[in-house]
Amino acid sequence: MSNFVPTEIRGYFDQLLLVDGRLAWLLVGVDGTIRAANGDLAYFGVAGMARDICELVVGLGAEATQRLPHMQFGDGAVADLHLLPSTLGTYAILLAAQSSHDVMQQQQQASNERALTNNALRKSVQALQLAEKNLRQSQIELRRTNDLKGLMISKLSHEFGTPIAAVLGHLQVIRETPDDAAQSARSMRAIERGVGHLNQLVQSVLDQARIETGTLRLEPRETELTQIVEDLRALFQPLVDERGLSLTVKVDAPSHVLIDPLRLKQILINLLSNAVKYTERGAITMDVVWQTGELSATVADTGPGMSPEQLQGLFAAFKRFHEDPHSGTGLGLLITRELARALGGEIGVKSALGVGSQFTLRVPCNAVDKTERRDLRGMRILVVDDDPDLRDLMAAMLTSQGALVDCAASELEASKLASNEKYAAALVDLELGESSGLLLARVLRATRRAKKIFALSASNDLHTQREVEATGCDGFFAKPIDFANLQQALLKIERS
Amino acid sequence: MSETVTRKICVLGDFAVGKTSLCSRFVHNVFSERYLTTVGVKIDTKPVTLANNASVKMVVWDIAGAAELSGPARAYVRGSHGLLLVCDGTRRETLSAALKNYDDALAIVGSRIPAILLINKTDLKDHFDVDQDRIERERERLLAVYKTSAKSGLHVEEAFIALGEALQ
Repeated sequence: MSNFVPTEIRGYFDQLLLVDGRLAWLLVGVDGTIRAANGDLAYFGVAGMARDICELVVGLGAEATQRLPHMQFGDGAVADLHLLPSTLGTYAILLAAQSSHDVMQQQQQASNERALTNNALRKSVQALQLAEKNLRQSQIELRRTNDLKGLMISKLSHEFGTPIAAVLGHLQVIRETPDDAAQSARSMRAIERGVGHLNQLVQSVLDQARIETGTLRLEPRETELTQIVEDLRALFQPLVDERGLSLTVKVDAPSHVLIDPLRLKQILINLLSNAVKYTERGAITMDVVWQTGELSATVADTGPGMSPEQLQGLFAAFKRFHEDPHSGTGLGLLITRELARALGGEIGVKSALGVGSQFTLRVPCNAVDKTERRDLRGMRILVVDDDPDLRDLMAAMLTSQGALVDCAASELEASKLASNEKYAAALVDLELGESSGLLLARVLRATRRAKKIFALSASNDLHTQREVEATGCDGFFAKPIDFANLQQALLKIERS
Repeated sequence: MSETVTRKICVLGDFAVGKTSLCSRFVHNVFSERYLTTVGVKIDTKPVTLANNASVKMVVWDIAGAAELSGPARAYVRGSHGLLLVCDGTRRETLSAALKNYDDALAIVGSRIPAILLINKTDLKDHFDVDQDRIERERERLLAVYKTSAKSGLHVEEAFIALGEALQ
């Protein structure tokens, strides 16, 4: 190059590189110290970092000429670093490279941003694809559920229709043959059975809805376990006898435990019903055992049993109903399992084809000392309900327990009674025709004319329960009222 | 007072994982939302005092990001005493890039120098997509793993100091 570059050009570059400060150099000795330096070191930001440059040169171990592009020291200008070995050490030469750096940065920036955008786009597409897949799956599920619900409604219409027809028919028989006491008694029993079945159907549907919406309420209380078992035996013995089966019930448990008796009974009734329903011949056994805080009840049958495949879908909603239109609503076992879970337990199943099935309920449950039973003798109770039949029914039940009962059909009537009498308890229906049971409950609470106030309602939804809680009622009973439950609540007042 | 030692730290990882932001947070305690790609290398120094009062001047080499070390970046790594490997917690593939950079750097340096893995951008935790199993598998050969945020400063100073402690 030196052969054809004129001296003027050389001079110009000397001026450009050395005098205008666009070149700087250091001579780093073999011992790593600076032997000499020149040019505008400050321009490249290395004025205070000369020692670092030395360490860098030593670290890089430059044995041949090297060019390290686009280096920036601190806030200095970007430089290309040239390492030039010599007999005196290594020259570290800094040449300004800001413009080439800026051009390259612009290109690199655009390329990186493109890659980031593509990456984000790819992720968005993946997320969209996943959302679409989930949506399709949800639609399939929704269609399936709708189909099943449609089938269930059709099945329920039939289920409801049969007992309603029976009840209406027998009522007509009673009306037409009022003097035939034996026929009336038979019809009354048939009506009782029909209404009981209807109530069971309604409860099943409501329970399923409560489970789905998470509003299932548990009411654990002191429960006479032996009585529940005896009730079940009495309930199922006629059915078992009718089918030529045998029923063995064994109990090894304290007489009283703390549990929700309604739900426990519901679970066991369902398990026993299934056992009776599917067993053609042989035996049904129920084994109830309590041990260190756990109650287990095993219902075993000698029915047809189930294959592992059948066991897998056993607890699916509407499963059996879907497969066998002649069976029940298909909610029974699902509700049973959910109730067991609500009680803090689980249902286990063992089954073998041709041998039989065994369902075991396990729930945590404490034993309680048997306490002395008392009646409601002398307790003054105000019953407020605008339905005369229900009002009379409650009055009759309470009076039979020795309670002194006053009845009112409206808020006004009840207020009048309460102004003259102080009650141990007031049972207030929330729907009092044109007047408000909630308002009455508030008045009774404010005037302290009733020691305890219990709300009654046919609605058992969360909204109603919250309203009752906000009013300051001491309890809530959903209709149809469980009198044993009500009695126990009233007995607590007596004790306190 | 003991003499100050100088230690060269290279910060490696894929592009746009936040290497420059981490260095700026550590050296100048500043953060900018604007993404500006690094070309070549940017060298900064910061003196730190360690738990035992020892002084270390950390010379931080913020090297242009790439999925692997190539070209001039291979020369920049030579003479390193320690490594900070950075990945972006919201971009799964950047973990592999950080670990590939690590393997490349070890081959160039020729000895097993201490390395810390920084999973950056924890401020975007809702978008995190990290291969935790891979991290657990790699943990043994790393000095430490930190989840950092250059934006908030979370664990940034701790990570640099931890490397300084190992290099004193």
